[in-house]
Amino acid sequence: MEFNDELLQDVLTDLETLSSNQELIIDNKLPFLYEGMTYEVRMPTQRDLVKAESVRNQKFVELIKQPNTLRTKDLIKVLKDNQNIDILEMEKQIKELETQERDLYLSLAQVKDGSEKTIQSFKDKIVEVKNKRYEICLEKVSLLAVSIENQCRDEYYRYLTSVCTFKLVLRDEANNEEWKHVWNSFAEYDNEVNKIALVALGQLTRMLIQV
Amino acid sequence: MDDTELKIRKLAKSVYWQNLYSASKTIQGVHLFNNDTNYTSLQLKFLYWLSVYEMLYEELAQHKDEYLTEKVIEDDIRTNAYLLYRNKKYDHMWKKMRLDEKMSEHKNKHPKKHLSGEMNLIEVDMRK
Repeated sequence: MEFNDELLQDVLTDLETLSSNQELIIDNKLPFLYEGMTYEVRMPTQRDLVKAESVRNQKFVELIKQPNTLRTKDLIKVLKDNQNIDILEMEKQIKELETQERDLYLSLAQVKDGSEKTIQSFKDKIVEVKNKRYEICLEKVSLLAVSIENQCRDEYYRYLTSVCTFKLVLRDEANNEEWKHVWNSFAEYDNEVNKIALVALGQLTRMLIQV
Repeated sequence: MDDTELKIRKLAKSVYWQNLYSASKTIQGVHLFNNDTNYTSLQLKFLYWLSVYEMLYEELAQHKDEYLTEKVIEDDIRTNAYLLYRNKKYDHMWKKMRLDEKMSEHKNKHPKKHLSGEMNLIEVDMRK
C-alpha cells in the first residue's frame, strides 16, 4: 500500500473521530462540556431508579387531584372533539409511512453497485418519507405532552438528572480535581435557571433511552 | 438516523473495534467497556451493531449474497436496506423449510394418501 499524505490524513481523521466518539460507549457515564465546564451524567443506581419511581407516583397523585388535567386517552378525545385533531388518524399515517419506508428500503437493497443514480434516488425518497414520519410523530408528541402520563414521565427523568449529573471541580490548590453533584437536591434542580438543567436532561435521556 | 447512531455505527464497523470484539469473545481479560454491569442503552446499541457488522463482514467474505458488497457496508442507509431484505429472505426460507418438514412428516404418517394422490396441503397442521 502506498503511504501518501492523503492516506495519512484519512488515518489521523479516523483516529481522532474514534477517540472523540468512544466517550459514548467506553463506560456507563457520558461526559460533556458546557460553558467551559466539564460535566458527566452517570447511570442511575437501583436506589436512584426506585426513588425516581416514587417521585413519578407522587406527581401522578398530585396531578389527578388537580382540575384541568387529563389522562392521555381523555386528551385524545378532547383534541378530536374540540379541535378536530385526530391522534388516531396521525398514528394511522405514521404506520402507512413506515410501510412505504420499508418498501423503499427493500427496493434499495436489490440495487447493485454501479447504479449510483438509482441508489441516490431511493435514498432521497427514504429520507423524504422518514422526515414526513418524524414531522407527524413530533406533532403527536407535542400535542400529548401535557397529558398526566407524560408529565409524570418527565418528572421521572428530571429527578434522575438531578441525582446523576456531576461536574469536575478543583479540590485543592495543587490542581487536583474531583467530581461533585451539580445539584444537592431535586428542589435545587427544579429552581435552576441556567440551561445546564436542560442540557444535562438531554444527555441523561440520550444515555438511557436511545432507541 | 441521528448523530449518535451514526457515531456508534462508525465505531462498530471499524477494524479496531471489530478486532477488539472478536478478542473479547475468546481471550480472557479483554473487555470492551470499563464497566461490567449496568450498561447504558448506548453500550447495548453498540454491542448490537458490533454483532451485526461482524455478521456482515463474515457473509461478505463468504460471498453469501450478490447484493452484499463493501460499498453497502460503508453506507448506513444501504446497510439498513440490506438487513431488511436479508430478514425477509431468511423468513421466507424458514417458512418454506417448515412447510417441507411438515409435508414430510405428514407423508410418513399417511403414506397411502400420498401414493393415491389424495394428500391435501390443508391437512398439514403448521401449528405443531
